[in-house]
Amino acid sequence: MNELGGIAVDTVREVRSKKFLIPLFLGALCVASIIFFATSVYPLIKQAADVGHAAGTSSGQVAGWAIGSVEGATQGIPEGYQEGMEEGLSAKDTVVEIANTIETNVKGLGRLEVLVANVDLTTYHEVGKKYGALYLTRGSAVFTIDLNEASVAYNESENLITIVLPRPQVEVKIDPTETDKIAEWERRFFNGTDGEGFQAYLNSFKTFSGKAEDTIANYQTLLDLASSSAIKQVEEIAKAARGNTNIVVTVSMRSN
Amino acid sequence: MSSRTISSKKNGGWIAWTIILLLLLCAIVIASIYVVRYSIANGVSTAKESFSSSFDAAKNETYSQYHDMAFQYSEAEHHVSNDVTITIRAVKEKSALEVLRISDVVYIIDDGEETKSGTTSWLKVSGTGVFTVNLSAAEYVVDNERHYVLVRVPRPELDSSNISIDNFEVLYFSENTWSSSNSVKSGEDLARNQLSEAKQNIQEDFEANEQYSKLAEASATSMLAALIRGINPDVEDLEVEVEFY
Repeated sequence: MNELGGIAVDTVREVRSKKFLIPLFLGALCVASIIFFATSVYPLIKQAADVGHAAGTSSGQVAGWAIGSVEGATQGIPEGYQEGMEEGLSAKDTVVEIANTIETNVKGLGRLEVLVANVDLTTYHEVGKKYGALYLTRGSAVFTIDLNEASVAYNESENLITIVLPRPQVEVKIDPTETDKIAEWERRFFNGTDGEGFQAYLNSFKTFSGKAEDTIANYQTLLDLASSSAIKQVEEIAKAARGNTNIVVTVSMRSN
Repeated sequence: MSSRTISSKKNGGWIAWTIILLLLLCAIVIASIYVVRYSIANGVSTAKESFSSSFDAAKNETYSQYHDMAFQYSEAEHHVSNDVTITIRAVKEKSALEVLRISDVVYIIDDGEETKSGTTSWLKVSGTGVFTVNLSAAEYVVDNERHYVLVRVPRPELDSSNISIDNFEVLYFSENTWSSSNSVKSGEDLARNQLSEAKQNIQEDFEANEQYSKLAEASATSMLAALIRGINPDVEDLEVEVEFY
């Protein structure tokens, strides 16, 4: 009986000592959970506002788009169409210009044409691999000096009049009535459209007349001829239109 | 204090700690669930944004690739080149004073009669003409005593070579792309004919307006007077008279 009684007391003591393991275990679990929450879960809370913003924005956009679509389709389109029609028919887009303008230079002196070069422009023109043509276009390069920019100085003591002329400028005039097609080739199939050819020709006409002008403007031989012609023409006019032959007239070209 | 009382107190502390820790654990679990919910929403949102941005980027990039590929092909297929050789035929000196610059606009309408394909084209063309006085044929009579100069010059004239086309604008263009006659060649011929017709019409308009000749004479008179006074700076009260023949 004493032995049995001793065993029971030991069992009760053992059970009592193991009961304290439960709060210990729970405590350890809490500590681990707090650490996990603090390091992994809690940082996600900071993004809650962003998440809410994104969710609110997207859902708001969807809702707004849906409602706006319904109202736009039922009300906005008819109203907009009507207002657009009124705006379109208002004829605000009206441009008025004078077709035949006149430029007289009653106060100034105008330009003096001093040299003209008749030019032929032979152009090999190609549009992709669809069409090619050889055109011969006639035109003229007209060199002028602006007499408004000329300076006249009279030196009474030396009986000398000095005229300094500006550098000549060139204008190339291409005559579309003087354009001949010398030869042409055309792809048999898939040879393009009228629209392509129409645009290609007009753009080419506009481009090569400008480039021809640039090229001739840089052709020194013609520029020198134009300069000497300008001096000669103005000298002749000055000699002929001056009565007082005692005064010497010198004409020169501005250096730049 | 009896041993029973001490044992009862020890049991009460153990239960209290267990309850507290269980409540704490529950709170942590609830907070975690709450945070995880938000995290999932955040992930979904981020995924949406990522999808949207990557979708747009991929769409634009793909679009650009197709666009560039089509552009390269189309540019090569429609590439217009002009190899121009300028030949100077004749160069001559002249002395022509530009006295009047006029401009005009004409409209060349082709309602499909010019081309076999029936292409319609409306072209607005502006051109300029310049009246000049030939000073190389001028005669000067100078009276030094009376301070008088008489200039006899040919009437101002508008030479064909002084009429140029400045600009043009296609107002309307319509073509039947299914027509067998539709081609680059046909379109170029149409443009060439319309420009040529425009130049002729502008020239006719200029020549038909007599007022231009009168204005050119008036302008020439004042300009010649200014020119002659300019090269006679030593003569005061110079009287200049201009006659046209």
